[in-house]
Amino acid sequence: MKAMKIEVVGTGCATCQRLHEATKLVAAEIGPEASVDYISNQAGMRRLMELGLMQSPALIVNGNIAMVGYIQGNDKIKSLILENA
Amino acid sequence: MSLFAPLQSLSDWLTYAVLALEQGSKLADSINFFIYDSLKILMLLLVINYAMAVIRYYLPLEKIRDFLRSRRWYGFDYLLGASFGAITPFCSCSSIPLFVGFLGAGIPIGVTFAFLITSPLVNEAAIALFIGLFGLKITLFYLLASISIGVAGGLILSRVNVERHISPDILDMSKIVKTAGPALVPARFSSGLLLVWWREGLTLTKKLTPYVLMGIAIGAAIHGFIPQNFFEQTLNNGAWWAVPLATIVAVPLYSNAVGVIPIMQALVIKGVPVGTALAFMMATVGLSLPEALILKKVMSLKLLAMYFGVVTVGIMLIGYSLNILFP
Repeated sequence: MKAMKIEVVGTGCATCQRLHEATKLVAAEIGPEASVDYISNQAGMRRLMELGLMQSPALIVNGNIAMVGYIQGNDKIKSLILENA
Repeated sequence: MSLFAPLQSLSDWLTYAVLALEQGSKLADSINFFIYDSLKILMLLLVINYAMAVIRYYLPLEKIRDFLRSRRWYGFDYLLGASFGAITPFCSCSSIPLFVGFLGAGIPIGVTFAFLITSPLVNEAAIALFIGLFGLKITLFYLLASISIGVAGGLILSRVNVERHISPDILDMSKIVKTAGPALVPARFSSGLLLVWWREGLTLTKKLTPYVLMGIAIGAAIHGFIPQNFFEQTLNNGAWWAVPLATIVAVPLYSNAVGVIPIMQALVIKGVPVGTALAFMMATVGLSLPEALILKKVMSLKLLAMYFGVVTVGIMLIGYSLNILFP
């Protein structure tokens, strides 16, 4: 099975933490091939700028931008992860 | 608005037939007001949130940034920055990435401020509530007023020395900004998108619903239980201090516009001048301590104080002019 590298990138705000929690749940559902990294604060800002993004938080799957600005439910997060893997 | 007439009949039926409340009683008045306003506002929110989902899809912040830097605008960019600030919703946790992203893309600091000032002042939920509660004319005034404060504030703050007032960390980070990411180009239109936008709009509306209902409930209580013209003795047009007072009192109150607007409408019906109420509402959403704490990470205290000062004066001027225009 192909490894799936999921990043939750944010500025450390409450919304970012919520997305991180949701993504961990979704990743556990997908299986052991999905790993979640949480990049926040200064490092998160740098990552956002490198990606050319300006909204926080962002969901990155294997380097692809899956979602920017968090408003989706867990099902949607799961399908976005699978689409972008 | 006759468009909402069926909603009025429905709420009359619910209040007087289903709940069997006595016509003309204070409780019946409040309940009727609550049902009618809630239905109307939730309907408008659904429509506007749908429209915003479409806008967000085709016009993400990153695209706006790339558009603003695409050519020389000769001052027109201030108006564009403020207008984009009005139509794009963004949460305050995006303030810093936005600031750095704009700066790094070479967008003038004044234009960035025009965007930052207007963005919290106008949001889609506020527009829905304004249309529903105050009508189109006041809504347009509110929109134009917010954009003018953004443009004027941006022009004033454009003279600021960036090197001196922006944190070195932030300047450093702005050097790695990448623009025009290929991943951000929206996919071509397909009918499936209609459903995606509907779901997004629905999610947002659901999220806002408790705040809306709470605001309308307080508004309805004021409507039913506070006597007509209660505020006219104390807060009439002649009281010059009412606008500054409303603005200053609102700063430490951090609230969602959605909760404040229905209360504001109920107060206006009871005799508070509409400009004073608008100043209060704009200061609640546009000048907040959490926002200040976030922006403090980016800029010097002096620049932050200037930013707040400019917006405060702008809001007061809007309050006064609205009181004069719609006495």
